[in-house]
Amino acid sequence: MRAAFLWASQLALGLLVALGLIYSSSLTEGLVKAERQLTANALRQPQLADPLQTFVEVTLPEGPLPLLSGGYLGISPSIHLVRLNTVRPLANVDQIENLARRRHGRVELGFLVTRVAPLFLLPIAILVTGSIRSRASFAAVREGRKKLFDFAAENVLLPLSAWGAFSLAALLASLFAFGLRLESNDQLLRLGVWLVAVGAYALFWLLLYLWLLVRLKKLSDVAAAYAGLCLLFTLLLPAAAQSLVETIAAPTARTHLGLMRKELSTLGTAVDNTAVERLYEKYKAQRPAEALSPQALATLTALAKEQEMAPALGEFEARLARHEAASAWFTYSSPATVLADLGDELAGTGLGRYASFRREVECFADRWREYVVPFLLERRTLDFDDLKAAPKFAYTEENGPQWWLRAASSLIYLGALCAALAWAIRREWQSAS
Amino acid sequence: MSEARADSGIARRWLERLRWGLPALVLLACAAGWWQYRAWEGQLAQGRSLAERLWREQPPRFPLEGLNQNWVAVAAANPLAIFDPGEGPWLAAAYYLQLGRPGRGQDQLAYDFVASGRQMAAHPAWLLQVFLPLLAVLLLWRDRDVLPTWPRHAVELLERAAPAVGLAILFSALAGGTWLGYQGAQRLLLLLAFYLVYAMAALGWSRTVFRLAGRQMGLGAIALFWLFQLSVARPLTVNLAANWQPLPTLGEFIRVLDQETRMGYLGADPQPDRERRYLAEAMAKYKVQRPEDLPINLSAFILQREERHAREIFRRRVSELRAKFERQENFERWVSVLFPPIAIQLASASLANSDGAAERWQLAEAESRWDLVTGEVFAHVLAEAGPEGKMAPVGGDYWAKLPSLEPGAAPIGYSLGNVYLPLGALLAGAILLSWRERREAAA
Repeated sequence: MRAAFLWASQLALGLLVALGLIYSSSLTEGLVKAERQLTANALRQPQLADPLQTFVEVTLPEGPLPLLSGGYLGISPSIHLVRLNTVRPLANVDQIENLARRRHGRVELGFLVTRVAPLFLLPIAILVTGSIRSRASFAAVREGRKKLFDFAAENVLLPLSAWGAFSLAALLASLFAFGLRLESNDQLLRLGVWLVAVGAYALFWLLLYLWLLVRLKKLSDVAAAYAGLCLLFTLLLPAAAQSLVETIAAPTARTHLGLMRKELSTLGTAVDNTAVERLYEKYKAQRPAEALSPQALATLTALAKEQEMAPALGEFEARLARHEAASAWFTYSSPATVLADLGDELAGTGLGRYASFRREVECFADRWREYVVPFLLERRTLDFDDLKAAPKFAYTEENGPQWWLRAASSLIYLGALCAALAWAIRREWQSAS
Repeated sequence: MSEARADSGIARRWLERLRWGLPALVLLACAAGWWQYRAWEGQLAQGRSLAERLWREQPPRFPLEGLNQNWVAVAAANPLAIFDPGEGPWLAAAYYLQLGRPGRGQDQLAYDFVASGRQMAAHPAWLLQVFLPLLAVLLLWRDRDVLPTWPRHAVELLERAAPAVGLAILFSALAGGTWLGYQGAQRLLLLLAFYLVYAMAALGWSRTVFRLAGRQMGLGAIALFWLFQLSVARPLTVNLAANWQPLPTLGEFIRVLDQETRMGYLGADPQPDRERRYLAEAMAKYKVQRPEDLPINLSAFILQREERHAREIFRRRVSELRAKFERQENFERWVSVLFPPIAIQLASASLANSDGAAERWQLAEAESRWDLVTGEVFAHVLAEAGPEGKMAPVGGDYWAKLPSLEPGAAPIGYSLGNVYLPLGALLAGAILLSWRERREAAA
């Protein structure tokens, strides 16, 4: 009866693991497909001759392993429209979304691994412990008639390895079923590093359980303490870190910046000839025979006046950078956030990559402006060669070569936690015996 | 010392720590919330005054030119967000008002750098949502060998929970620095009451799970139960709701809207046909035989009708979208019957006016004010421009006389109407489970 119950519980758990993996992978796959379609339809080559109207759409290349995402896939814009007087993020995949879902996030692989896996490990560990205690050989270990290592290899490592192998097989099967293709060594390395990090994370939770078991003895007490620590590491510490970051390094609101820009464009309707003259001097442009159109003059005035916004924009960027730096430090407040952050970094869907894309788009918009403004000043249109010679956007991975540094620091962090726990268990065990 | 006594010592120790620790934690969260609110409110006020200035100090121009811009109504600052920011920075900070299709403007698109999640900050309401069940679990852990009667447990839980809840409510009421009014006071009192009911429901659920699982595994079962409830349940339900009622992408939505605005419903009412109809309507209305005899400006008349046409389509399409949002939220409300943390999250955010429904109410309010403004401007243009199409410019005085664009906050009845099911579930959880306990104890 007991054996049947154990088998049924393990089967149910296995089914839940497989279902969770399939659900999360299918969810991410939908987002990847939608984003791929969105960027595929982007107009990367300018087509219009009018310098006022011509535009180009720049895109962020797909991350190396987007299916591993727990990050900002479909949330942060991966496509921007760059025109003479505007840089506009185009619709990202999930702009229409219930706020509650945005607030609580998607059940993606990253969520499953960081938040749900510790919960699943608890019943598995309880099942394994229950079966160990019921064995006669456990008494032999306590009495010193059997080696602890042999016992652990037979009764702990084997069942846990079986669970690990099953989870790994289900994970890889669902990833490949939903479109994961390893086409480069870089992808293989990233996937390998992620699997190692997930393994280290699972080991951390198992060691934590073991440490509690050695200290508290009773299974129900261990479960209660484990649940408390699980809440601490996966919910309370990340939330406290988030709160702290929002308090000490909150970024400024963007509404006000938008309104300032609007104020400038409203003022821009009153043409400032001195500002336009300064642009002629700056670009060393020839004055055309005919006067510029009122729209061109208004745009040029607004461009010249935009310099007035530089301090506000500078402050906005500085505060954003401060927020980013503070958050990077607070990531280390919990192993859950470390793994989630590493997963996003490896998947190429972390906020850092989207932020660097935004910075590169801003730089590209400056180059675009530098190229197009002389055409407007000289009242020329862009012919085929001009359009061909227009600046091209190529995203260069800002953190590309350094991802492994991030990975190494995360792995060292998780490894250190595991080592500390292993040492604590050994000490407890020695003092108990 | 026996093992059991040593273990219940842990629970006792933590119960003692939380007696002071929980109110202290909640006060810290209130202070952080107050700090954030102060900065946020200042930025909103700055934005609001700039938006008003831009609206009132428009350069002299023809009214339709002014209307044909993208205007901003900054959202009302919500002092109750110190207690429960609800959907937090994902809520719209401003509403963009323009001809045809007003929309929401979310200020904070992606600033949540802490990798674990989407703006899951430790605000006072969230701390209470997590710690009140933990108190119940600790009480059960301490008393698992001899479970006391439900009333004794309830009194002890209330004694430990009430100071934290009361302090959080009191501090939030004072920290906003503004008079919250009669409705605000009602909201805060209801929040106080419902958090205490939540504590009772948490105790009821914990004792029920403990009894069902048996003395041997009771504590483990409660631990798993609350771990799942607090950590996984809400993300899972919002995702299942999204799968049940999928929403279109923005691109798809705009495509449908553009097509229908241009060609009419199912392509049956294209723009040239509409213009002919508007001309006939104008001639019938003013009882003339020829367009030249119209006493009003025909172009303005056609523009007004086109605007009504576009708004009507937009309103219909957006209400379809809102119906989907509401169905998703209804799904969560029904599910919350079995999940006390979801029930209190829904109820708390709604009573604090910081959930998606409260935002939709504000947006609808801003839209209706915008409709009033466009109606008045079109009426003015029709009358003033005359058949010869005079384009007399207007100055700041004209815009200042029009209705304000600032939206107000949702009334308390609306908030309560959205969450009667989760609130009922909490009450039922607290009352029915305690009744069952008493009956079993009597037996």
